[in-house]
Amino acid sequence: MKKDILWGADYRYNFDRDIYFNRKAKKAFSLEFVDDKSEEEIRKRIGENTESAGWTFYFNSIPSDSVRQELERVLG
Amino acid sequence: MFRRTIPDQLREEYFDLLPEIGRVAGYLEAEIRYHTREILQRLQPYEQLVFKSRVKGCESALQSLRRRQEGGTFDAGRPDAYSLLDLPDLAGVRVLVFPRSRLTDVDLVLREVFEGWSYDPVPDGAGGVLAPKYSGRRTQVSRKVRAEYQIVPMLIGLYWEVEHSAIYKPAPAGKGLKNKAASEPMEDLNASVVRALLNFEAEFERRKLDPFERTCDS
Repeated sequence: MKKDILWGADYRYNFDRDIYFNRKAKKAFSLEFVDDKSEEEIRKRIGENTESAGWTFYFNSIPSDSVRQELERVLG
Repeated sequence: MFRRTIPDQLREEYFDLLPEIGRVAGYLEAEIRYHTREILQRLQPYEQLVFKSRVKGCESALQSLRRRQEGGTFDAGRPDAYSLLDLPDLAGVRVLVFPRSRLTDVDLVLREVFEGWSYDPVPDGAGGVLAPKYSGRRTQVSRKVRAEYQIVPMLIGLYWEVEHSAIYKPAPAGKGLKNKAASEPMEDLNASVVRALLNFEAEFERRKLDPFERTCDS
């Protein structure tokens, strides 16, 4: 199950924002993205290297700057 | 220049709509009561049909709309993109039914009356339906406000009232609990409670229908 893949990779669920996140990896997956993508794709994204110092958001629709800022503030 | 936040904008919309939402809730309840009156009259003494209408609260509506956005976040750069009228349940009626077998009777009657409403049932976690739920508009009262009705086994509905107000209602103080509610132990416990209540009803009905059990009971 996709949920188990994410939990196994130390992702936690933010109930208020409906996202899976990992503070160490600085990655967040929206529930919509997780629902729509295959397990293989989720695994690939979890393992992929991100060069950016900030958070990487895996969303179906690319989040705007203001949405990113708000989520970065919430996720810490 | 001072710009209002999206939540403030939505709060204004909410209070503009509030009288209309109240009218829709009242109308929907009256209509549901009217169309189920024959079932109500035929109930056995131990059977129950209870109607509860509600108007969604302001903050609850805001949170609900926010959580419908991907990432649960309003985009401050698109203040005109949001309206509470996108919510399917600003007004609502819950019909609580005991025992569960009466649920089908009520569902069949109301489905005809509310033909064309969207069906979005509450799943029981085992591939079935726990509570049928429908949403749509009653244009006699409002062309804008959408309403929802759901038919719920009474024991489950009463459990939800306690569980939702303790855990899911938006309150800053309850936030920690809310996060815990999404955790697996709480999910498992919740599923166990629902299963136990459904099993109780199933056993109750089996005994009521079994002539031998009836003789022994009396």
